[in-house]
Amino acid sequence: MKRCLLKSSALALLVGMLALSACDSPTAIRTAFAYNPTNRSNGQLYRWANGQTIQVWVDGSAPNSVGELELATLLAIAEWNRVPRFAEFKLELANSASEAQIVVYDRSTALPVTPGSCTFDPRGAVGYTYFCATGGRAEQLKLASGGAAKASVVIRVDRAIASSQAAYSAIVAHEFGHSLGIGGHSDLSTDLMFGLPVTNIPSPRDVQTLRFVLESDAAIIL
Amino acid sequence: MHCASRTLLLLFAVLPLAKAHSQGASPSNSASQSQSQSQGASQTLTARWKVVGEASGIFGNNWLGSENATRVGGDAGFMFGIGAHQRSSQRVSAGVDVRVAIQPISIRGNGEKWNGGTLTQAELVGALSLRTPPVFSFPLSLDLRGGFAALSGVSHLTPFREASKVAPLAEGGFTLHVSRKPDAARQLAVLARYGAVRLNIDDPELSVKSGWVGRFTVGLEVSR
Repeated sequence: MKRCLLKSSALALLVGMLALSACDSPTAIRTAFAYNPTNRSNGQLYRWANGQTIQVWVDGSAPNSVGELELATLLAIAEWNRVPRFAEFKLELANSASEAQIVVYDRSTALPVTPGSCTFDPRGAVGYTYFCATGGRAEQLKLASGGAAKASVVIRVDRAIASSQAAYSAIVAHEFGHSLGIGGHSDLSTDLMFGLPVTNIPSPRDVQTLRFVLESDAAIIL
Repeated sequence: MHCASRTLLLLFAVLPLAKAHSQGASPSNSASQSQSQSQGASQTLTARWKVVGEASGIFGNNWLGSENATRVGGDAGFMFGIGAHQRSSQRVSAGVDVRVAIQPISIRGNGEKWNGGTLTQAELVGALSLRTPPVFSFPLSLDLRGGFAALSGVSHLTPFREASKVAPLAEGGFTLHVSRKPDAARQLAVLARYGAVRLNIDDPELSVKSGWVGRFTVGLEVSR
């Protein structure tokens, strides 16, 4: 009788465990955006395909900012790599321009890639992020030197306009926000994605907005 | 799948085993009688320790889910374990197991699936085995396990980045001994278990909720 009770209890425990794990699994709430991530991308959401390592190449030949662009890019990579919750992307420095998906250069040097079918029009901007989407995909750009490339995004920054290394660093980090999928500007100056950024660290609102983009169905895949 | 339907599905998997157990518990069962007869001969084995090794496959656990958000799941993985068990009576044995489970993690969302890394679980569990009436004359035991799992390898990933690194776990299932002699010095057995790990989430953003994560293990056990 006692043995039977023990076995029945064990079976009941097993069944209870089955029910518990079937009904009470860990759940996540989908992130909402803190500011509109499409107010500068014609209402279109864009991002990279999930789960990839995004190679970044920096053209370090700018005569007026030796080492500054590399440093700013490294800081930006470190900060934005903290954002993904589900390993959606990982930014990494590339060894050559031909391996890179994002090319970063300063206005004082020549454009290292040939633009796609859309107009490359940075005007006098201190920072400019360019990609050209056709049929829901960003076009692959060719190297200006003629070689094959994987790059689909170009970031151009202008050290001559930036007032300091800190401002330059903030602009580089801001442009990386655009290159990862935030196609809008925030209204708050405390956010990195404010039109004229004063910080190079993504705020919780920037993080929240990029996470929203990463977890959304995008119209354009870079 | 809806929670209630998943529970029903799991219950259907367990009920035939429960039924076999209740039928076999009858005092007129011949196998029970033969075991009772051999009780005297095996009493000397009662307090003996045995070493138990285990190699299993792990299947089907959902580490994070919700209707509209990204889901994190475990692909088929494997587990190795070793333990020391001692018989406390003719039908009951208890002991401790140390196990290591390795499992690839995949993520699904917006119609895409990508790799999240490899989860390693180092587990310390207490084991309790209750001998039940044999199935086709093969000895069968009902197994219960309880202990803790240290989770590592995917701490960059939600829900692991928000969860406690040590998680309590409970497990239950059956072991079917291939040897017909329940007290043979060496035994090979087939095991099937269902377990659940509790992920306790500490998320200041309150975007992830704690819960239990179930898993099936099927494998082989060797003891001597």
